[in-house]
Amino acid sequence: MKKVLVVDDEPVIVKMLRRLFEREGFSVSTALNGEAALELMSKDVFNIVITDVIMPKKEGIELITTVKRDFPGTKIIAMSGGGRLSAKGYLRSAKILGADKVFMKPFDHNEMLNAVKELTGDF
Amino acid sequence: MLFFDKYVLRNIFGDSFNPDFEGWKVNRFTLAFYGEGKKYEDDFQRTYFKNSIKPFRLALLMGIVFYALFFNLDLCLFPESKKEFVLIRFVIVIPVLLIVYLLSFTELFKKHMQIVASFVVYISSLGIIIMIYVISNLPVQYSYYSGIILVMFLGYTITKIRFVYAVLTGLLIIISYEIVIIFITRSTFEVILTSNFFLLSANITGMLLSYYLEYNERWNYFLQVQLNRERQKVEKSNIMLEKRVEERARELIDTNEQLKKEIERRKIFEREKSNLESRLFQLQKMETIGTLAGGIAHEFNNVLTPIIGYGGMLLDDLRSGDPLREDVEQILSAARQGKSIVQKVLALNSDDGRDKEPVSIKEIVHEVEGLIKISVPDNISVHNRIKTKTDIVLADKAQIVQVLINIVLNALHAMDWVGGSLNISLSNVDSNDPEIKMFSKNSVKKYVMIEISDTGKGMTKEIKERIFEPFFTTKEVGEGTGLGLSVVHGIVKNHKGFIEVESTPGKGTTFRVYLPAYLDLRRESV
Repeated sequence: MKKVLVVDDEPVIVKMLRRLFEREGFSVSTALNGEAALELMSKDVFNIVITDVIMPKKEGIELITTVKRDFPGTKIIAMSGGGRLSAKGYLRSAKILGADKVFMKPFDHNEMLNAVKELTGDF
Repeated sequence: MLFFDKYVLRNIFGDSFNPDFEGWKVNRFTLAFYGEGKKYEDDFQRTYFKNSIKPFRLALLMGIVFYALFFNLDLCLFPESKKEFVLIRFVIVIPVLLIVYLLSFTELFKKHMQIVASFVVYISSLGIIIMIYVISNLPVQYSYYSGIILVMFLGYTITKIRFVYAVLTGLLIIISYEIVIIFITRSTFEVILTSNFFLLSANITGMLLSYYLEYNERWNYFLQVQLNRERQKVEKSNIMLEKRVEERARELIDTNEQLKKEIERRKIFEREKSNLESRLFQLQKMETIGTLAGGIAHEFNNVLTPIIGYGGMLLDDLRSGDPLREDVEQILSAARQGKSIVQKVLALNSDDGRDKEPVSIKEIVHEVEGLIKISVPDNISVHNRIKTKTDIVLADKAQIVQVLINIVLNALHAMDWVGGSLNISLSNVDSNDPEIKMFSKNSVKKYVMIEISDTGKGMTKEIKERIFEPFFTTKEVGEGTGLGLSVVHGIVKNHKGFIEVESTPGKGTTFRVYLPAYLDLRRESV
């Protein structure tokens, strides 16, 4: 079973993504910030991390950099609803830093699902 | 001398005698000016002559008349000596007086008047003395000497002989008379005594009179001179005063003029300052609103994400034909609409990463014109005026088209689609231009300015200040989202440009969009 780690500071989004992936048979773990995510990653191996870019305690950008460096086998999807800069701006940075795919919130659930399946090779 | 001053002159002249007056110095005997006053003497002599010549002629005429009339007395008293009297009166004295009368009209007379006048008086007296001699051999002595008193009276007064000459002449007459009556006619003691009494006292009285007249004449002259001098001084200081007043007035006018200019400059400065301040404030406000909008969009996206996510999953789970599908689709559709609004708001604030390339604003303007001409009613005329050297801007063409269309739609709306004129013009503005200097960016040398003006209803200041705020609209509910102009603002900002708006209620509105001109370096260097 492929393992997915969902990181977002919005519990409702975390919950929604958990349901989306669990419905499709993924094993889903969640974290509300970058720090908690890294803690989980130190204990378990995840196939993919889906993270928000702007969060309290370790930003998504930092998380992406760390995952890219410490867990090169783990795929990364960045998502953003924008902030001080536009979502596109954040996602462009995320992509440059190594995110495999980026999504602007709100996204189509099927597109997200397909992207995760594609990246984890779970077709 | 002190006695003379104290008891004679003081009593005659009162306080005017020897007054404590600067420059008033006359010789007590000759009465001539001396010392500081000496400079007056020549002029006084001339003035004195001028004042004397007429009375002198009158005196001569009176002398002639009297000399002629008294001949009747001769005829009456001494008819036998008629020859001698005719000789004295009509051959000697009257002709001499006549000649002098004529001479008085010559230029030479001016110089010698005093001598000649003294001579005339002496001759007239001598005539009488000779007549006394002529009648001296008669048994009865007649008091013809009274004639001498008459002559003296004229001589000391209206003949205007000056005191000195008059005194000498009087003396000469007395001496001549004494010689005749004492040594030649050998008159009786009684006659000598009587006539001398009268003659001498007449002479002394005459002397005093003459002295008084000349002194007064000199004093008047002196006062006149002082008066003239004071008047000149006053006039001079008057002129100086006027000059100074004029100068002061001119200075005041100048100062006033400068002050006015300064006030005018201040006013302009104040106006410019407040203008710039409000523009700056506008700019900061838009910046704040942009940031705020970004934050709100972020929150909104977080809210929309689960709605769309769960909605999508719910739709997947519902069997086809389930009546709930329709409801869920409505929810999803509304959420997607929300998503599109949020995306517009986000566009206000951000570089959305679209690729920009050099585009010709001129072409865009033509394109937009073509688009709007189809939908614009006939009573709205559209003009353009293009005067740019360079119209190339590094831009996303579709976005610039959107900017122009949004502004134009706004303009058409302002004209209520009923009539007016819409002008689009294009020009280059240097970034150092004082109008835009504070908004221009350091890296930008030149801007392409797109000016779109309408003759619509214009806006109040309050509305103008808010037009770029997202969701601000003056349109009816449902007519517009209030995002058109804020999108314009966002796009222009993304292109490193800025917008200026000028509007007068009732007259129209002008939008000026400034975009950095793209200077082709290769072309520049040529």
